[in-house]
Amino acid sequence: MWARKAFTVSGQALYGGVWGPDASSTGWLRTIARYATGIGYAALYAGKTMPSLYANAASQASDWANSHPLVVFPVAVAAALHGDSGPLEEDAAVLENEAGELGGAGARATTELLEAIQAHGRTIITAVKGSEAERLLDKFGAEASVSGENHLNVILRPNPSKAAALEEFLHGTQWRLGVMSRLQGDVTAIEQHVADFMARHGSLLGLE
Amino acid sequence: MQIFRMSVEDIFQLADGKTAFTGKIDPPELALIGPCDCEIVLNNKVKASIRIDGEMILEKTEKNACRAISTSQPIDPARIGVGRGGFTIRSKA
Repeated sequence: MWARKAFTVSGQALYGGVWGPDASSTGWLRTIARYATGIGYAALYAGKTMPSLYANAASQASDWANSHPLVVFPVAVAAALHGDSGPLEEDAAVLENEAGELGGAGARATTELLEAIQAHGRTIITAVKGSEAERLLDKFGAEASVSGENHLNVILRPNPSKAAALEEFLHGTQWRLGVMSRLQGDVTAIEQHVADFMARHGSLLGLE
Repeated sequence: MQIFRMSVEDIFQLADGKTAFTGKIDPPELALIGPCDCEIVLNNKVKASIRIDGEMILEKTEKNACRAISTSQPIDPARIGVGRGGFTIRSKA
């Protein structure tokens, strides 16, 4: 149902709007969109530990959204256009749902998570001992890398950390959303954008 | 349009058929390199044309002035008369 989808899409952003950095500096439209949509995200978040509450909240939210299309639709559109963290969160949440429950700090990427990443269009090379991929990562002292025209080709070391796998996945999402262009290809800013996102949502991603 | 030159230090033939080149980029302040057509140059002679997919993002744990670009195009360094380093990749104007 469109209202549920709109509410969910919008809902990605309130969390970032309320608790995220510099919401006020990004313009009134984005701020309104982010705040207005956070209710849905809060319901999703609560659903992690209280599924019945989530189901009830989502159902009520959907009913409310369907009866107030003139309110919900513009907000959803505004959120989609101005809330850059929304789709990023959506991608990460989809991965989490498909990969199952994620573990704590320093946790390793599960087979399910790696399969989910590949199911979302990424290729993964494992930098096994003695491989060219390992030699490449070693040259840079890197844990992982991503490359390709669309940033979909991931290299991970054997038994990679969950954080590394998610970070490489999210670079592809950054490219898809135009975040890399908006950050003018500044690699430090691109890395920081993903790091901030993962820090903000460490609990949701199972990284804390 | 990004204009750059990479002084290639090493080549990496990856398992998926892609090739990565590493080296220093001139100008060093150049932003993330996107897909572009380039030339492999040795001793001021163009040895081959290649399509670069773009720059690799490496999660570095230490500072390294080197950068890496990759191509999906099959590259045989010996066939085009270059070694595993010591040549230049430059963007086509």
